[in-house]
Amino acid sequence: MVNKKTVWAVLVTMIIAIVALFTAMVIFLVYYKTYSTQLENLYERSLYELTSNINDIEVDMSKLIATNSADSQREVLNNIYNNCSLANNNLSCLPIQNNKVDKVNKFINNLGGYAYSLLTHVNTNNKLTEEQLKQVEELYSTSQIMSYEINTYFNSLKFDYSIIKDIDISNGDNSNFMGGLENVQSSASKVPTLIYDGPFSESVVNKEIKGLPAEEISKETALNKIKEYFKNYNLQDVKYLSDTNGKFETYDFMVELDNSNLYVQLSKLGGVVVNITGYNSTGTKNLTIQECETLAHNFASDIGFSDMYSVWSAQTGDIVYINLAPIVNGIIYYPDLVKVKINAKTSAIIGLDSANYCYNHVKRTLSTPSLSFDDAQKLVSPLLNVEERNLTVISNDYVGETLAYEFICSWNDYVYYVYIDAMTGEECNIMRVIKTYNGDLIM
Amino acid sequence: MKFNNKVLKSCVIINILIILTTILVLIFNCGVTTKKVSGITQSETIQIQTNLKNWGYYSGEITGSYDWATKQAVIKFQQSNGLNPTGAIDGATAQALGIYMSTQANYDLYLLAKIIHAEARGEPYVGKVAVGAVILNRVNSPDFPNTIYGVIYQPWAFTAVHDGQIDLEPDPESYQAAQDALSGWDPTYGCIYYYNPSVATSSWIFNRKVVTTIGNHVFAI
Repeated sequence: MVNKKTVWAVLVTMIIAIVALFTAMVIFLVYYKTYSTQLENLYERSLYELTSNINDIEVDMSKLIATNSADSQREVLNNIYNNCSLANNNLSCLPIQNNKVDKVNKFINNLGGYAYSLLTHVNTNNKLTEEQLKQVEELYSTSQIMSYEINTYFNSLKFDYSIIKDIDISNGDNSNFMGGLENVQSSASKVPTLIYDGPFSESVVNKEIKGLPAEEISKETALNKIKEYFKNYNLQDVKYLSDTNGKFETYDFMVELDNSNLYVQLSKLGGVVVNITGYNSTGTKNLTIQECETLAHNFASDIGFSDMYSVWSAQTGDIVYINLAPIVNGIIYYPDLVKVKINAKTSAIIGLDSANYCYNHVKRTLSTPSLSFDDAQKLVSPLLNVEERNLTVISNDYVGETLAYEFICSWNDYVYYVYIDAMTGEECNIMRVIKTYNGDLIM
Repeated sequence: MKFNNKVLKSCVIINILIILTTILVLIFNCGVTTKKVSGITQSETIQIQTNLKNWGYYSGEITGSYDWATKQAVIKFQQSNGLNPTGAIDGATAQALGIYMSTQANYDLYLLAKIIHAEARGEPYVGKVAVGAVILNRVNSPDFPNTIYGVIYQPWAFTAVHDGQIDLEPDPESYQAAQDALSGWDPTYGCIYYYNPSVATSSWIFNRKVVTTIGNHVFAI
């Protein structure tokens, strides 16, 4: 038997505990409601903005067809470009799996890229061509259908519709919310292939490989080539791992050296080293950047990249990244960069990336510059103090290669790289070196 | 009312369980726990620890981890220099310590290192670089969002973001892999998907063209 006092004590504690649990549950529900309302609001905001962006794109596309002045075209194209970026951003915030909206993304990204390329065209030529206007008309009809579909979807939603109640939080594949947007996705599938030079264009996404030999080699030949390439680097073992069949087709090997293990990828065409990836912990040496540059130059030369010189290097902790470029007759070929990575503490070569070289390295026929070094230098901002100048071939975003004078300049403590087109005198690029604790960046 | 010891014991146990449940409900659902992200990169922490050690405020190892000992040293440094002793690296403290805080580009690196660590720790190094490269390939693909942040935080795009593992502090290998990917290394040559075939649940992913397999991940376009 238990005395009465104990019974009361237990009963009171029990009541207190139940009240506390009830209170905790109420607090939990208040928090849950607040969080879910905030999330719902963010999703709804993105949906409102996306609809508004798509509607604006439709209106601006129709204006582009109607307008006849370069100034208006510029303004409208700017709006289309901006609204495409915003639409992409808002779409990415909605709780939808990407494979259910990838065609919408593709349409708005390509449209934005196309608007960008038309803007460049209008800036140079002051008007759009008939062919371009015809393409704008075709794209307008897609933007019109897309706008219709998203508005239809939006209007079908009841006043108390909740996105978060309509999604399966555990599985992004299973959601009624996504089902509602299916018509928007299918409206974006019927788009003609756009031919233009700009962001997300076919020529950028599916870049042509020009720098590899035509002849395909066998896996055995590739293995022998690896042994040859690394014979001076204390090669311990080579193991074939797999094939990679992406933009580059390669045989992949694990190469064991005395001080590092490297994942080495050799192109099936010609057996060129396209990629080396490795990791190496700290050692006791302390190589200078110049010593690393010499190592990189020698290594590149040993594996078949001759006449390559260091054009840029940056240190991040113990790791030194060195960019090598071919210099022929005093001209630096930046599109053919080979990047080498060295651990300054161990002097081990732990990385190489020659994708740019393999894409671009061909023998070029260059025109004689219309401008002299001195003429071009006069076009550099007078605020900048020119410290070095070179003749270079640069890759100019979307329009291929340009022969340009490079001026390395300083202003206050900043270092700038200014590029002047050697044929037209146009300032075609300007970059600034940004010092960070993760190494120097050039932006 | 008559109670025997057995009933009383049961009541006490129920009481304890209710109280524990209450505490757990409060802790897990009401934001009692706070997750703190320092926002300071490992290399910045190394610089901070080195400077503090040279000036006699810190006697521990240079670990690159902004731990309790480092925070105490920062507080000591702030007190001696007339700064607000919060232990946090604010602008004035960073300036007094002689370090520059991260620039925009560092955040790209930091977030990429975080996602690599969350998604691919335990994978071979090249597999980590490959995961970083897939994210950057998505940024450049018309089918996906156009920023690193947009790609990483896209709902349901990455398991480790969905379940919160993205907030683990990345290790030096993940930083290095992120740096490689940002410098252009792409051992997958343009892949925009990867999955672990033993745990992948989305059937559509198996229809993508497989490019290569690295560690436990299959990379596809």
